[in-house]
Amino acid sequence: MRRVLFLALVVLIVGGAPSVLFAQAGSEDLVFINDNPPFEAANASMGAWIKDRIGIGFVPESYPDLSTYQTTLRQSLLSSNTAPDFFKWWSNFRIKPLVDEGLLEDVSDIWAEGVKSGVWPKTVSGEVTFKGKQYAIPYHYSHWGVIYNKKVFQELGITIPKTWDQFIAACEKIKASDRAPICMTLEGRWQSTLWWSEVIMKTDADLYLGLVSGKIKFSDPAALKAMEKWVALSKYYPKDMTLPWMETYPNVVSGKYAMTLLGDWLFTSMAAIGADLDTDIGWFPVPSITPKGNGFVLEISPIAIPKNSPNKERTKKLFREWMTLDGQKQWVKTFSESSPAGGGLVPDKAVYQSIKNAGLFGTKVRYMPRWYEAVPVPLCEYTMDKFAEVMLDSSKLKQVMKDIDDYRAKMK
Amino acid sequence: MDKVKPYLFLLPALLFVGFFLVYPAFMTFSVSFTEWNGINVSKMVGFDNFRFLFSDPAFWKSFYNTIFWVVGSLVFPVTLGLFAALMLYSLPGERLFKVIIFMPYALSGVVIAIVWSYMYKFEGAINTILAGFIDKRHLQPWLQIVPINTLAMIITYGWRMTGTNMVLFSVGMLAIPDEPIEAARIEGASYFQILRKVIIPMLASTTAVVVVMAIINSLNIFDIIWIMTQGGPYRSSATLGVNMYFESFLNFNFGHGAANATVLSVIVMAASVFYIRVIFKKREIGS
Amino acid sequence: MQKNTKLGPAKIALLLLAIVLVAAWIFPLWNVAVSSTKSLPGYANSKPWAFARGENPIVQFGKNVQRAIQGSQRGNGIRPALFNSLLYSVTGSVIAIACAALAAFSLACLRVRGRFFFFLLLFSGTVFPLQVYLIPLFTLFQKTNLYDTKIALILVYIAICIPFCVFLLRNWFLDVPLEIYEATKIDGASDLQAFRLIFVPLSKAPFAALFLFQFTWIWNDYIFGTTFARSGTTRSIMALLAAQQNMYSSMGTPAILASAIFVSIPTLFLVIFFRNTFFKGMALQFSGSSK
Repeated sequence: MRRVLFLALVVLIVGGAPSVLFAQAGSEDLVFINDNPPFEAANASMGAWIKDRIGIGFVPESYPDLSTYQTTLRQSLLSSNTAPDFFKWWSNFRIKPLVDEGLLEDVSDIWAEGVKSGVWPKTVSGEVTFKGKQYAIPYHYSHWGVIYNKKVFQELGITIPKTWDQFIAACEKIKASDRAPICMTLEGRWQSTLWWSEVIMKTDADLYLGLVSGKIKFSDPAALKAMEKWVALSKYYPKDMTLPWMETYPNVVSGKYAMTLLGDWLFTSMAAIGADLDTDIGWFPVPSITPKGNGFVLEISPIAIPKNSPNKERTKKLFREWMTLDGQKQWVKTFSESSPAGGGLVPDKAVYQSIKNAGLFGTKVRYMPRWYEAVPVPLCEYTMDKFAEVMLDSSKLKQVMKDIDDYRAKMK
Repeated sequence: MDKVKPYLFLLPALLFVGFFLVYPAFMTFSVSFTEWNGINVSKMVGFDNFRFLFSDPAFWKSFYNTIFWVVGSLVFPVTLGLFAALMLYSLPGERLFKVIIFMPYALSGVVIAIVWSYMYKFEGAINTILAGFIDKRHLQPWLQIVPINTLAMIITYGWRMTGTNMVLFSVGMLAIPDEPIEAARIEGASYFQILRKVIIPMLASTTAVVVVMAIINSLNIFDIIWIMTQGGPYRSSATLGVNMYFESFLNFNFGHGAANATVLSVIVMAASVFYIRVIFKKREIGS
Repeated sequence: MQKNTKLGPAKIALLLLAIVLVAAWIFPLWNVAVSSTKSLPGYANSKPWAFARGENPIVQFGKNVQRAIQGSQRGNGIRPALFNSLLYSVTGSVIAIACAALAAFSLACLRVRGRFFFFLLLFSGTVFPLQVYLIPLFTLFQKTNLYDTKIALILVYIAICIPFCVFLLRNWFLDVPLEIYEATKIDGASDLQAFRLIFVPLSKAPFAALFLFQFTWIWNDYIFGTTFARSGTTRSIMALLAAQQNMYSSMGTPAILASAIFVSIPTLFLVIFFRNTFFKGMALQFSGSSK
């Protein structure tokens, strides 16, 4: 009996193996690699829509784990055997190493068409432009602002704050009602950069840009002074900042926390757990602290085509279709995010309209790069941890900022 | 042909291990002397990576944490394992008790990290219980407080490993001969005296195995820490293994990561050498 | 050491202590089990170890498991991952044990020259942290076009399981009385025949134990599964569980906990019902182990 089993096993492995074991996900549709399993349905639907239009479709394949995704995707770009048709990435310094090693396809012509046809404003491509050429097109396009629970505000009689002092007063009122005014967790580490960058760019947008480029030191007196307002926010965070992100935003929906600062991609997740985007959730921009603080975070996560992509020409055609006005309208509808194309497209809910009404799609807005992408990766990872240290112990502010300066100086 | 045949028996195992384990270990070792981010052409930089490492506060923090873990896993899972084995020995229901304590062995690091993270939350089970004993104001989200977070994770690890140690000690106890114990009892020794003077010394070789295995396993810990705190907050709970992952897969500095892995490997090898000599001393056929 | 099962007062005290210890051990699992039977609002409004009021735990658990299965979307769902993990765990263990048995036989019985060195080489696989293998193996698979294939993972799992199996089987073979081996030689049997006809049949117990150990290890592996597998067709079950904790996920805690229980059922089953085989196997790590 044992011999039979053993033989069966051998047959299974040797005979059945090649097709099963060596099979990689193959299909005549293009394959879109990303790290967002929850968005698979939206991606698949978009792929089907484009296939209807031009006969070329795509299917999503999602990695679960952020650092695994980033590592293995980078490596996979090196050869045409492993490179994906196209993939989702982050902009600016996160994509720069890929551009520097010549691993991405130049898509400037697709952008040029978009700008010439009037669909795309010229200002939007900055985060994917290197030495005058573009290497990716937008996938996520998010404005960042305060997402709040309307019922909590109504109950406490709070109106949308238009100045920083009003914002702090609102936080005090919410705190007094035994809720956490500002949603926060340190579990993914990136969250520590959110309010730090927001406070600085609302104090002085040029100060933020100076810190990004390194022209201004972190321990510069003006910078430290601006950061004091950031440190002052620490008392409005929840006591438990170890919760996984997935457990925190439901608390905004339930009213346990009142507000959170994030990109508008959060609305989809909130709707998925039952929030009504017209009546339960609202949005307002973070108020400026001084008139010079007129920066707004614009997050663009792009999709790019590897130079080693197996179906380059077809993928480029796909990108072209995605960038058309119809394509963007469909994308906005499917993905429930906004797009700057065609003067600013937003999904049909009140909460998105607030973003448009705040004038954030205008061409005169000072867009700021998100800290996560704005500086070289090791520095960014270092600051994520250091900011968390200050959030947990505000007396460390001066020392930590000096440490960051030293680290930056040591970096090549 | 006769001379070659014995080596043929070794061949399959050697091929697998050589190709997929030994060769990659050498590659990592050699990467520690280069500057490489995975996609560029690597450049030899001699001992620069090691120099960086030894001057990096995050490295030293992870080094001390690693020592904390080794000591912790000797104090907690090993002694509790011994205690459980002694206590349960010939107790009614021994089998059932042993299975329950051993059960976490079946769970993966991911599941264990998830289970315990939920217990350590500020509103989790641990605090709900503690609230009955201590002032509510002292309660904290434990995974956020340094250095209690490492201690909390060691407790989690202990929950996982105590069962294994207990079983090993139990096996050792079965092998203890009755005569010395009988003799001591006849001479009027109390239970604790018998324990100290007879039982524990006779468990020496078992203890050696358990201790060295505990040291090696605790040096290599990764998934529990990574999933519970990512080595945070601000790298305060990272160990050498976590630090290596950080440098390689978050900063994409494989040179630093490989240097880190090399340092860790040297420490683990030093701990294992003793173990290997002990277990290889076994008499062999024909010798 | 003799077992004295008389029930004196000291024993009763120990029994109570043991009950407390065991209760503390079950407590975390109890929390998870109970939490996985709650709906999201029920979870938010109840103590961790108590059932949610007004909810049917069994129905809700079923709902959570369903959510966990669906939550993995579009064909990259739980069924392929379960199949993959089963495939890896079974083939990885069986082939590793086979290779290890051959190697252990030669190290224990065949007086190979340099056997300490070979043993050291094979044993080194258990010593190093797994991260040491990640990047080189990734590059290797990429260059040989084996990245993200089932065969790549199977090969890696076989390799990582061999060292411990060699160690255990060598101990076991060394305990076989010398006379038996000599007898086969006198009868004119070749080494391979001695191995097949004598040593293998004698080794049912350690083979079973090793199969359980390695199956559990491979089933529970996270780090290799996430690094070397990208698509749903290759991914293991623990990688899938980790995916459900993803940042954009809207599954909710109870569903995740239900999922965690669900994926642990096979190995829990093995540990509970084959505990004696596990325990006997662990005994094999010692020289002069009781037989």
